[in-house]
Amino acid sequence: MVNGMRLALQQADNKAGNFTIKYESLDDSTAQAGNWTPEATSQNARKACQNDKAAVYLGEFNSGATAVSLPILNECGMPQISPANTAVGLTTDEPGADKGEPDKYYPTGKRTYTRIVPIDTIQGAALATTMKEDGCTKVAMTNDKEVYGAGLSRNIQLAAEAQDLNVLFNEGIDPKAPNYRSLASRAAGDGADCFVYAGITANNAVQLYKDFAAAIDGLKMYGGDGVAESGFADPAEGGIPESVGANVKLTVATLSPDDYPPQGQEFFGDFEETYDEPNPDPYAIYGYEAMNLALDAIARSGDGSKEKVLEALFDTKDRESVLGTYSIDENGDTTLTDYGLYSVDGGELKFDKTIKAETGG
Amino acid sequence: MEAASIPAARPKPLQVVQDWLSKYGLILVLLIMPVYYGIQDLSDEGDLSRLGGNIVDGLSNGSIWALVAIGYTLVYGIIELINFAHGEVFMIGSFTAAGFFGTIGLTAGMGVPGLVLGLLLTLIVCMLVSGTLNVMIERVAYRPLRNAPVLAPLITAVGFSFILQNVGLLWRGGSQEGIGDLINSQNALFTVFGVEITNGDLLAIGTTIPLVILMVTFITRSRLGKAMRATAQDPEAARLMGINVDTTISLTFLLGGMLAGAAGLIYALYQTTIWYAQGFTAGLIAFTAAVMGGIGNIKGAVLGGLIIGIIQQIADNRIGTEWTPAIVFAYLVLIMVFKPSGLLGEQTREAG
Amino acid sequence: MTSAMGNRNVKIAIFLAGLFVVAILPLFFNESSGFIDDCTLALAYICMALGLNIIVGFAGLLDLGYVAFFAIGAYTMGWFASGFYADADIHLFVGEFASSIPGIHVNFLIVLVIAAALTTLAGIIIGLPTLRLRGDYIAIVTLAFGEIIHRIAINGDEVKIAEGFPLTNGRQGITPVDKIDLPFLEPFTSLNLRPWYWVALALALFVLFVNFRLRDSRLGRAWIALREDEVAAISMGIPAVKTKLLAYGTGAAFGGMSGAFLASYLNTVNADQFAFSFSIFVLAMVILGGLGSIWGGGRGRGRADVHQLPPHPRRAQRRAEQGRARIRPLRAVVRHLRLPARDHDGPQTRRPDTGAAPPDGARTGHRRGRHRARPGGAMTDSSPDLILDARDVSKVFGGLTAVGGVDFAIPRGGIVSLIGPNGAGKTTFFNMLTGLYKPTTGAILFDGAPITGGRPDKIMARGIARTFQNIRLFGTMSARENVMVGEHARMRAGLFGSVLRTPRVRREERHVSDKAAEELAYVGLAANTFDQLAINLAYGDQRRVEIARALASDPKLLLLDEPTAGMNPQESDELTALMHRLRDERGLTILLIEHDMKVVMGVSEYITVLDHGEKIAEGLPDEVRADNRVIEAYLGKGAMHE
Repeated sequence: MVNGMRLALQQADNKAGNFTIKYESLDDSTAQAGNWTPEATSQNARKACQNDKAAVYLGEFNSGATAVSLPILNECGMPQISPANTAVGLTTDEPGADKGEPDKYYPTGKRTYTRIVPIDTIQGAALATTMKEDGCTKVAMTNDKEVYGAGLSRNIQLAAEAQDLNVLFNEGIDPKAPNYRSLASRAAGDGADCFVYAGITANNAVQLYKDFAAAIDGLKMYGGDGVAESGFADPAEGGIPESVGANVKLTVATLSPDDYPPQGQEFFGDFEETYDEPNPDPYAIYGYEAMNLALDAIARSGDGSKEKVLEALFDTKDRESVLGTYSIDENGDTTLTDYGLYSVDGGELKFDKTIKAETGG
Repeated sequence: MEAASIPAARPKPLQVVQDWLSKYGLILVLLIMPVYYGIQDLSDEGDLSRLGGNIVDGLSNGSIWALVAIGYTLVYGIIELINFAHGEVFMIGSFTAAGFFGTIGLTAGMGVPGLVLGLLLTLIVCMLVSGTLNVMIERVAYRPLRNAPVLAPLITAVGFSFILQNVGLLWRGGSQEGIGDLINSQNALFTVFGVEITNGDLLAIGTTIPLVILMVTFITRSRLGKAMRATAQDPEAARLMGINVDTTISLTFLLGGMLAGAAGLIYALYQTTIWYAQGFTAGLIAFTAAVMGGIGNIKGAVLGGLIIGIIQQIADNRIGTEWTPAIVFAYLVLIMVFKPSGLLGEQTREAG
Repeated sequence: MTSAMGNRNVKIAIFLAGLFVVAILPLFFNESSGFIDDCTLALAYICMALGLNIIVGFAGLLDLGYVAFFAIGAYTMGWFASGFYADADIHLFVGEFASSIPGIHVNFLIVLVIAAALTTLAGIIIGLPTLRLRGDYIAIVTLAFGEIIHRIAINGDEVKIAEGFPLTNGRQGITPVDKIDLPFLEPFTSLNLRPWYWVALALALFVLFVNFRLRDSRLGRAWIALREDEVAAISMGIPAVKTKLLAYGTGAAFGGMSGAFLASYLNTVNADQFAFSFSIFVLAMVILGGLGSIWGGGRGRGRADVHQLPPHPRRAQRRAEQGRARIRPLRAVVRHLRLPARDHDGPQTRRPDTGAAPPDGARTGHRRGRHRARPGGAMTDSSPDLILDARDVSKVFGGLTAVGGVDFAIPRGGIVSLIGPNGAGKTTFFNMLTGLYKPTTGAILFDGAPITGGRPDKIMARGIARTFQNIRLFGTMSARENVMVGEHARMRAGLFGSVLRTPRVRREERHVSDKAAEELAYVGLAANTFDQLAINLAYGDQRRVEIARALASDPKLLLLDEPTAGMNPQESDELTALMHRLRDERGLTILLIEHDMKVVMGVSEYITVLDHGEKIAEGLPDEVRADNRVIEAYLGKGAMHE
């Protein structure tokens, strides 16, 4: 993702309109946690606020972290673009959001946050639609209990039940557990034929999929974008074995390289050239687009001030981008709704098709 | 006051009930979960295969805990120290195994003889690495504090545990890592009464039993084992009898570490996922097992390990995986507060 | 004296200057600078370290689950000052923005008080069953509690207090949390960190202040006494569990207050924050700073110093049990690996008495002594004024009879000796009198009231004080403080009184300190040694301090366990004189265990002889001296025929 951002900046020659752009990378995690921490996140947000020259804040990856940084950035009126947050409540009060959301994130009452990925409502519907199409009847659901995982699993469950799928259970897992055999055998006992995990790879997803695959023959397994990475799919990097991968399908808000508009195609070529990585993480392109959107907004703002950039950002209409043509609505959400369905093949994510999810579920 | 509940010479009726409870109360508490869910299964499904499956899974998981728990029990028995770093020694065992697979190029595709040979070799390597590591920890962190206040070595133990965790973190990164499923761990070998027995179950139980028997024989029969027991009884007297106490303590750490190393290998093969923090959880679980069985008692540690394994699996299966650690720790608290002598431990005075 | 005062003033001046610098520090930095951020976090952690210092440093309870209090404090803030319970609509003294969000929003100051109360309560709930255990068990059980609380935090989203009111928000976290809103001040913002810094500083100073006040109070001395030597402490009238609970609850409260602050400052309460590593992080601060040292816990400065922890009790025990190590047939492989880890005088000793104990079973079922005469028949009848009357007292340890059916009485105002060879059960008998052991059978009356099996601190409060065979002073305290501990039961200052140092508490402290000096002078200690650390005193002086400590409680009965052991003849003579003075000037009754026959014969009015747990003789010194059984017991059977 960071590489995607770097690439975009490099291609723009560090310029946006009349402004020279400097990119400063702030890490919100500690090595021990391998994950973001609230201390580092709020420190980053303040650092950005404190810097008069900072015009846009790109981040965070994790919705939970954004929940911490957003109120701070909102106070100093800093425009924020997240390349990856999908939690519903950050922008709207649609189903899946908690009461009080999203207002509680905006102390100034003014929207300052935008994102270029579709929200979880859409991904949940996409997964449910896929399961329905694949003939699932009884679904065993698990999630990692984090903001992203719990939120996504709520949305999947809502969508699945709306489409008459029988959700057996929706269990939060303990990421530190040595294995999930008993949970899997419970699903087997209940006659599950499909399995979904909403969460990230780092929360022991590999073990979870392995145990469920072993417990139920021919189980169809699904996952969200949290596991759509080589660390999950590739056994050489500690991911699931190929035999398990064969039954796994993942949804990612990234489409097949072929489905992207010409700019998108170009991106993959450039990325491979620059970083020698033919198959970037699905989110690389979002990082790239987040930076491009930022540069575009700065260029359109005229004076590069936070206020004007913010205005320009929310003014984004029918932007032609590597992701396709989209606008930013008044909540800060993208109008893009397409999800890509991927299968795991030989340790790599392989694009299957684009899903037009039945939203409203 | 602890002194308040010393058993009287002639028990009164109420005391009989109390004594009975203190003797069998723990067993009673431990039986609650399996019996409750067994009855539930019988009434819902008409057979016990679900509970049986839980128990088989529990036994194989538990035999790993048992091997780790023995290390706690041995060390506690001899120097009354909770060797906090023991779980990390176990983790290093797993990491060594995973690394060594790569070194000698062990893959699931190899024939059975090659695989068995390779695994035996790995077993020896893991046991040596973990054993040596444990001895080194004792030399560096505990021996200088042998006569220090009782909490000082406990603090260095916690410190060492963190050092080793960070070694693990640097070695193989911060997230769980899947490794090759060499023994096709979850392949069902055969089915008894509707309960599947997998390769992994067989490996875990089949390796643990001989190791425990070996260990018990060594301690009861060999000269060194007798020296260990004598030192545990009374280091001063043992010294007077010409036993080299330092060597004996090192030997204890070596044995405990070797079993942890073996457990590390079995864990890696059985779970096929390793990570740097596995040792912390495993350490606490195994310690709970050691206390449950009666700390200082090898058979108790094995029994405790198996019981904890079963409890975990039943909890995973019925209550939810996210609650399982809380349940295990609740057992730990209950036992330590109400029956610190555990199942097989002597009713010692401080247990009162 | 004046130079000491001057010294003190200089110290205060330096402290105030330092405080001033620390207070104005944020003004030199940008108002949202990372440095102030770090300092604010550091101050909040210092609060926790100081709280934990009370538990680990003062009271010597190794708490590996301190994070639990951070969690509970933070959740208090999450529950009462955020939009988490959006179905509720409660707004108490909060600013404009918080008022506009549904949920429970209560002013920070009120939450701070609730947080302190809740964590104290949690500390008591966790501590009550835990603190009775031995040190390393406490460590593990608190660790387990910490992990359980962590688990409940993670899974609390499934635990519904009521519909729409889950316990926690699990790993999703409660975000955002209300900002601090203090009266007369602008609402705090995330961008201006100075007010946050000052609040954290105020909290830290408050905790520091409490630490200092408690360190030099009745309670602080009791904690350190318990840490140094629990058996001696409870024998000095300190109720162990209650006193430890006070330490645990107080330390917990500071963790909770700091937690509430951090929740607001970090703007989130996420279950992932409350992992075990945080407990270790705080513990490391305390240890690096030096356990028990306030500035250490406060500033993480100073050297690692763990020598103030209680000595390994097992060593002494081992030595004590030397020579009678019975290697039992080992049914389980290492079943008996563990030996009870308590000192000779302690209640946990499997068999408390040293020396040549009889082999297993030799004494079992043989509880009644053959000599059942009341002490000096005539004395019992003619002087019914017995200060102590023990009847048929016995103590059985796992089949071994240490004391068997002994009748024993002490007339008021007498000086009585209990003698016997090693292992005769004398110290066991002492320990039953003082409540360290509960007798297996028998009854003990003190001053007409039963004290059988009562708690040591209660028995002490009734008027029995003791010294120990192997000196058990609190090494890190001065001689004066040691004696002040002896007055614990006579003092009344509580937690709040000690912190506030009310005039009454001040008076009491002054009075007790003066009285301690008096007692020290009375037993013959040189005035210039009063404020030296007890461990640095000469051996004979340590004995004296121990006696002064026992006297400090104004006992009616003083039990001296081999007071002249290791003394030279001149010191012994002085001690003998002291005993007479104590009886004559203060009307004390004295019970003495002694080996030095010169002392025994010189001072005792009446002597009881124990051997193998049974009374074999009693009477006037001359009678006892001539008793064949006594000679036999002391010198062996052969001696009779020489």
